[in-house]
Amino acid sequence: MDQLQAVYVRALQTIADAGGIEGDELRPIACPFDPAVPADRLGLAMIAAALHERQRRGYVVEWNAPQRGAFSAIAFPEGVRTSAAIASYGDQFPLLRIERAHADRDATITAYAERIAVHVSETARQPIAYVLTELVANIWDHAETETGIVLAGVGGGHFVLIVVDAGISIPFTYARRDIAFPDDTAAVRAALTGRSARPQGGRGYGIRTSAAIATRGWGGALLLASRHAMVLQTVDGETVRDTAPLHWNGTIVVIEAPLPLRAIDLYAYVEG
Amino acid sequence: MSKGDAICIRLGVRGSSLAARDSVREILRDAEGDAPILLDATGLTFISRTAAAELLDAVRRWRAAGRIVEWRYVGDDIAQMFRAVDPSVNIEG
Repeated sequence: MDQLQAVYVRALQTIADAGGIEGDELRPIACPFDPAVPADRLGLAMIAAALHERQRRGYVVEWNAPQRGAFSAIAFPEGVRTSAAIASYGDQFPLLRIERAHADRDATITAYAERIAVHVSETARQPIAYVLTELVANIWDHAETETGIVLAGVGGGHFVLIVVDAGISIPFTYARRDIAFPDDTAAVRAALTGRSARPQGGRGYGIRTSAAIATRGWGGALLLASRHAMVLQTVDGETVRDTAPLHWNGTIVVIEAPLPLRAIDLYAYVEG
Repeated sequence: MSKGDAICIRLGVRGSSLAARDSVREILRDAEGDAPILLDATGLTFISRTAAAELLDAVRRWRAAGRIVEWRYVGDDIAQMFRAVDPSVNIEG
């Protein structure tokens, strides 16, 4: 879990060193991360999202890495977008680029969840599908962006699941609805408790339930980061970090859990 | 409910899974009006909590407005998510 924090901050710094997402002094983004290391996949997902955001804004997509072969093996940074493309990557978990406008996006997400279940734990099929679909649904509901990045990984006895968007951040989403917090950390912690930015009832459960599954259920951790805040939640409590002046305009969710994933009853966690 | 006068909404029209709120809203686009509604879950094997909540909200609104809403071919996993979201939900018939 310390490794996840370190990767998160290193990725923010790497992107900042390259000039960020837009501006007159953009440089190729370096990729100091190893696809074979599960925690490093967080850095890769963030850099892929940053590159896609640069491209969306009309900039040239440039990146560099010592050896590119390992990166193309997981479809970095372009990402795969269909169920068929996922299946073509053998035993690998490729980087998934999901787009709001894609007609089969729900089926593609389900196919990715299915691949995870097959390779990680058949008994965890339902909760894996639940957390992945709920975290991605938050992108469409709140982030006001057209693209999301998903990347899973296993190694060293651990499983990671990463969902990244470069849309509007959690603190900004609340602020737009006149929900004020003293700082970004308070806003991110509110999201973890299930406080929705929407006025309707019955919302806000996605992250809270996913965190419960990751921590109480699987004995792992959930990292939630947005703008200047990063909160790492485990069954033992929270670690909070303000990363200012570094920031991520968007939201990042990472679930890390020890393997084998514990068999849990999903409906013991789903809230009414 | 006779087939002729009901609007049949196929929940599995976009595939075996239904995940996001906007996916549900798109599927329910043809449910405007006053006619009875038949929600057909043929082929649907997974629904997220988010999508289930959006769908059940729509069902509540329709029933509150006096519309007849019936379900067909709701699988066990789908029914279980519906009941997790709303234990009082009626998905019989």
